[in-house]
Amino acid sequence: MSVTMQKMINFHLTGKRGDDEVADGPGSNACPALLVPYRRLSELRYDFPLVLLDDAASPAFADTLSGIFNRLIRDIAPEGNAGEQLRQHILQLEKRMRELASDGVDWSLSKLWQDAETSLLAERKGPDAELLGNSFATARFAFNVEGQVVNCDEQLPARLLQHAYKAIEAKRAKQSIGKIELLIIKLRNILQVDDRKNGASQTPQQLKKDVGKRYKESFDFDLMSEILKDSTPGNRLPDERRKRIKAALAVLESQRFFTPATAGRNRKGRGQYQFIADNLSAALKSYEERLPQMAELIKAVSIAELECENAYREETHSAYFTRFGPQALTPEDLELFPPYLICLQESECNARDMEHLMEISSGDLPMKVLMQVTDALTHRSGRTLTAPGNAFVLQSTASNLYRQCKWIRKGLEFDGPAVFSVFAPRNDGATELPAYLIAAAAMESRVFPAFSYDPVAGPGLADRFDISSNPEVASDWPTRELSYEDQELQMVVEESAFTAADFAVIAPEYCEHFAAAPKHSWSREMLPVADYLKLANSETVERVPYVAVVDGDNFLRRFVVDDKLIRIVRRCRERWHALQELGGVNNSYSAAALEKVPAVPVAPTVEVAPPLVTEEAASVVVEKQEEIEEQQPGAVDEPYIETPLCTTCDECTKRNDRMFAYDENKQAFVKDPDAGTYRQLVEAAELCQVAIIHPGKPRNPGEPGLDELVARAAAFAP
Amino acid sequence: MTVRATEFLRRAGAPQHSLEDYAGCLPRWCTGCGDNAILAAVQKVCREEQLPPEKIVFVSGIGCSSRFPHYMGSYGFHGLHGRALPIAEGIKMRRPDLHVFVNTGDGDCCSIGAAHWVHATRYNMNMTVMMHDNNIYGLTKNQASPTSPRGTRSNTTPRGSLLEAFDPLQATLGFSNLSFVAQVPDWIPDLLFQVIHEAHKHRGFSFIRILQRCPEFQANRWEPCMQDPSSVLILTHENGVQLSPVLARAYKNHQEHDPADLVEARRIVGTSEQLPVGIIYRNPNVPCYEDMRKPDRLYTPEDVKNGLNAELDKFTIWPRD
Ligand SMILES: Cc1ncc(C[n+]2csc(CCOP(=O)(O)OP(=O)(O)O)c2C)c(N)n1
Ligand code: SF4
Ligand SMILES: [Mg+2]
Repeated sequence: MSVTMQKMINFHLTGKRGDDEVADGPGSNACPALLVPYRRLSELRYDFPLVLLDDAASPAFADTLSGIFNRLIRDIAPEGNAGEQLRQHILQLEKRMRELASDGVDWSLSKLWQDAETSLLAERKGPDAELLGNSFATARFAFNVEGQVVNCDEQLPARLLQHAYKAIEAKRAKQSIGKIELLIIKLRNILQVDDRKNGASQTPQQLKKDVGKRYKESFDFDLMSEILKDSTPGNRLPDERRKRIKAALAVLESQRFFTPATAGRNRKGRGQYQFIADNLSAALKSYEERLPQMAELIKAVSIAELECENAYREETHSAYFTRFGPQALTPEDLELFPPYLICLQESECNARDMEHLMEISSGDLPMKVLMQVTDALTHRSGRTLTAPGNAFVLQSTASNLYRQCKWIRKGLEFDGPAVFSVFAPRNDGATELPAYLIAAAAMESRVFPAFSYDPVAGPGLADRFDISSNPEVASDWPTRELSYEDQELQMVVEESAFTAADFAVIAPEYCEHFAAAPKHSWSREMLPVADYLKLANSETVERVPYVAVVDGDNFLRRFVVDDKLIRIVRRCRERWHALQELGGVNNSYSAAALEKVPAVPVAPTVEVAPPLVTEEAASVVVEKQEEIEEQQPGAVDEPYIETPLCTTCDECTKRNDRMFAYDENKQAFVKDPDAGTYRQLVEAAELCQVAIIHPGKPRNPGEPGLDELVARAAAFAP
Repeated sequence: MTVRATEFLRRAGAPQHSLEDYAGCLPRWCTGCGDNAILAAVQKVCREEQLPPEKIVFVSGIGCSSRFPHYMGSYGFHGLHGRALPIAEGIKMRRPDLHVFVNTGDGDCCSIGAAHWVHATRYNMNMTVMMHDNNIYGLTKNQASPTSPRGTRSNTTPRGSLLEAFDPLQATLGFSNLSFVAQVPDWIPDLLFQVIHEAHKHRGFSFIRILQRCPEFQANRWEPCMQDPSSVLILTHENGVQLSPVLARAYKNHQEHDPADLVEARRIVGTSEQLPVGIIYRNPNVPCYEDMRKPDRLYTPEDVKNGLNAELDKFTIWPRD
């Protein structure tokens, strides 16, 4: 074994760099070799910058700059050559906007456009500038998007989430406040109508005042007052009801959960409640404190709804409402109120916060928590969240957040707790790579995989758990092609896995776990981390793992990885395996079950014609028959009507309403056969258009003309 | 925002409505008129659903059948000939919380009001429309209507009408944005109830053609069907009407028909030798116009007053002092 190799093994085992030869760590400009093609991001059309759309009514709350420009181009630039120049000009504008936006300043989309346009036009002269200016004018005319421009940085998760939260909550608030204000109007109307009945508005003086000066000579106000007083109903609201309506009205008018939509409402000087917080304990406390007011509001709404429909029954409802308090609030009631949004930094959370987080994710409190992670390799929250609970969970890196908008919406709209665990690297300048790349690398390297857990998506984990947005979900690490020129300037292409160790290269706090391997010492004993991890323990002796890195001068270098980091990488892989199982990939239970199942040849499906009448169906038929027979009256001598077939035509009841009557379904029956003559029975049977009256046998043998009547009745024998 | 408690209490404290609660003035239809049967069935549907009488509106045009609102113990609007549907649409637009029913005659609907019918179908506002089809103008005492069979002798066609009868079912199955069509005779009370009940439950424009007896001017029109139950084809389905044992005994002629199947619906209506009865077509997914046009903000009494004043001011001629 060479001396250098020995040194490298020592570093690997101890994590201590030695003399000059194995002394270097990766610098701030080091880049994992697989990420090199993406180093100059603003030249690529990717997901950032993002625009948080102002239009609250649009179904998406954010869009990418490139997406917005794609649509613009599609809308105004004709296909083919005709639209080529316009297309090129618009793309130049987009590129300049992307460059300007990368400076970290807060831009509105319109200001960014304006500045980009001005700077591009300043670079041109003459007809060239004119052409460009024309294209921009055309584009501006068709452009109707506005919003805040955001980059992939440390602020992104909170900004995006708060923006989405506000858009979603605005809708909920609009519905709730609409309802409350409608009830206020209706309750006020009830009181107003009652007030008008007190006569004050019908005095001659008041009427004179109401009519105004111009026509005061045209009316006799005394007479008018008399007429109006006479025609005003005197029934006033009972005191109890008036009191109840006023109390409910007071609660509705002074509620602080929703901002009033209609102007002119007196707010009594108290502000609206806030629901966005940065502290879990404070949010929980405020929730507890507001519960009684929530109950009061729900109670007032319910009383108002009943009052407006005149459906409030004192005898039954008052006892209920006196007992109504926070304990009676149902989950449906709670859904009417805005949930809390709490944005946290994991690095600032103490043990108590983590406890609260667990409490929230296993309960059903309306709390939406953003847990922002800055140390992706050792973060705590994501791990605790993979235990399926009541909460909706989304884990994602900042770079991937835009793609997760659908899940962000789901989580925010979910009736219960939601936790968003998001990795966004610090903006501390420790590395030269853009934050987007670092975040993307965290996801790519399984250090911070993406997953979502939606507790209401279905009964099983397979429906609820989703890891599909990760690359190559079935494998331990995703592989990419690494291409470089060797010493003979020949192009070399290798398949290379992107592991958690590759990610650690760009996480400054892990720099000490790497030591540069001098070029002359590269040998077969050095293994890429992914291959090294596959070795059995005994095979690792005299071998060292390395990662491929490109330095600031574009040279490919190898860095040996120490054992401590290898352990962390292993843990990452274990966590990924656990996640895979939850997501239904490489599931150990199903693998074991499959092994037990003997291979069976697939039998051809044979179509068997179903029996025409199954035993079950046959019994139903018999029952129905019996039912019918039961309905046949026993003695046909008695007159009767097939009541269910009666069409309520009034023929029989008009003939004799003591003999024939309607039942509770307004269908006729023979009420009293002796309340009329047999002639009436027979005539009714003849009049009945659906022929369902059966006169039976005559009851009074002395009735004249019976022979003829019996003959006519024969037509109606059952 | 709906509060659970209200739902619960509404039911807990609500008075039970009986048939009498839905009765208005004493009907003045002829004895034996099928309209009586329709009235009874409608009142039973209201009772079944326990609709609060103050939340119901019956709207009609002009005709014997259009006297319907007077006989219901609810709100009503006895409109102009042929104009029941636009009035009903206006009511639904402003008061979507009300249960809107429309009664219209074959003349009212298929003749003078035909254009309204086409568009009301397309607007698909949530209401139950009963077209009382007695094949004649009853109120004006015997003039042929579009649905009168060819050869009908009436005051306007003393030598028999010349045209083939208009088929309201075939017509409506061709209208755009259709959501519910049914046909039922007034003389099978069980089916009449089921169909009106289903139509009321359907969210959208539910059109029922009710074959109605007019003993005065079309005395024997439906006689053959009433005498011979096999001339009636009852369309049954789990999403349509079902046959009671009593009916099954009388009406042997029935067939499963899925109301979701428009092509089959058209085939049955266009080719059946017998009178198809039941729910012919139903699509619960057609959006309702009143939902699309829901105002996106609340109009306070001040807003309404100001709006009206602004409109009226446009026509004001200020008096000179
Ligand atoms: C604009 C107008 N035209 C004509 C009439 C006369 N008119 C009253 S009822 C009616 C026809 C009623 O027939 P139908 O609609 O079938 O109702 P039915 O009486 O048969 O129930 C006519 C033409 C009218 N009232 N108004
Ligand atoms: S004329 Fe005909 S439709 Fe009118 S009430 Fe009499 S039977 Fe009924
Ligand atoms: Mg008619």
